[in-house]
Amino acid sequence: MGLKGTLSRVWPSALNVSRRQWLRKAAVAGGGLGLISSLPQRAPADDGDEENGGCILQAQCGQPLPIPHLTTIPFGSFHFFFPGPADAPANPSVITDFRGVIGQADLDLTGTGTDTTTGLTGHYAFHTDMRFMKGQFVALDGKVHTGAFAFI
Amino acid sequence: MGPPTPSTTSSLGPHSFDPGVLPSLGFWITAIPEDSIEFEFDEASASMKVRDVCVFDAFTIPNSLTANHPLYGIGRAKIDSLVLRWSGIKRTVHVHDVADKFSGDFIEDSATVQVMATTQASSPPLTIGAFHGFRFVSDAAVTTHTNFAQIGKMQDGVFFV
Repeated sequence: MGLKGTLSRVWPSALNVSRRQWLRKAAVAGGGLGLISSLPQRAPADDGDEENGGCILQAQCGQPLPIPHLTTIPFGSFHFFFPGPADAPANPSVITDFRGVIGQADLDLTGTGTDTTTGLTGHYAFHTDMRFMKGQFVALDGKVHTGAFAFI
Repeated sequence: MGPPTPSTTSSLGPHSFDPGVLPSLGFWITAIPEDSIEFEFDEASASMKVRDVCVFDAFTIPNSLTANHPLYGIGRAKIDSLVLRWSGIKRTVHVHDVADKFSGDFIEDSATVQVMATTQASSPPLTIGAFHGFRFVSDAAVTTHTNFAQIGKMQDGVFFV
């Protein structure tokens, strides 16, 4: 969870480092580029049709595009700005061709982690960069859509 | 931290939840219901309340962002519930950034979060070795520490004016 560099990222207290701090340190240190993780996404089983511009998977055709800006870290370059004042400048949105409202939160939080198999518990401190974007956007199909997205 | 042994591993290690990267290259974002967002710019308040958001538990950020997830693989996870609230006014700013093609009005403020997340127990090949299940329940929202927070009305890309 941004507790990831979003609760996005949740980090154990013992590591004593936040996702944001880690990413920034890594970025400063430089290092070899990695491959961008491309993870499986949910997609509907129905095919597209002509009304949808020939899109095969509706869920994919309706996806927003990322902002052009790239932040480079040792594992590759990704389309986002680190949290910070918008006049830094740092676009808080991670999607482009977007018009709407946003919320951004770079937070530290604590809580209890439980091994659900053994019942053992531990104290956790997480760092998270979470955001939302709600409004209009031009999607992969070139059409204007409305929707909301969470950056986690 | 090396790879786990073949035996079942306790889940009380690092955890890092994210939705992955979209095929359109959207970074760590996932669609949510529009009514999960409440936004009142004139009152300097906003909230995001979501339930049952499917994500990955990549355990660490490097493991998430490296294509073969070499540390442990990745686990099935879910943000069971998440409530984020923004309030207050620390600073207001109008931005017109020609270089990055975005503009808007922003209120820098404070935020609180309350979250519960669950990682399913897993076994190969999804993960390298078997893992116990894990659940995280945050402390009360008032214990949140804000490093930076803001809400805003904005536009970018083709909507930039």
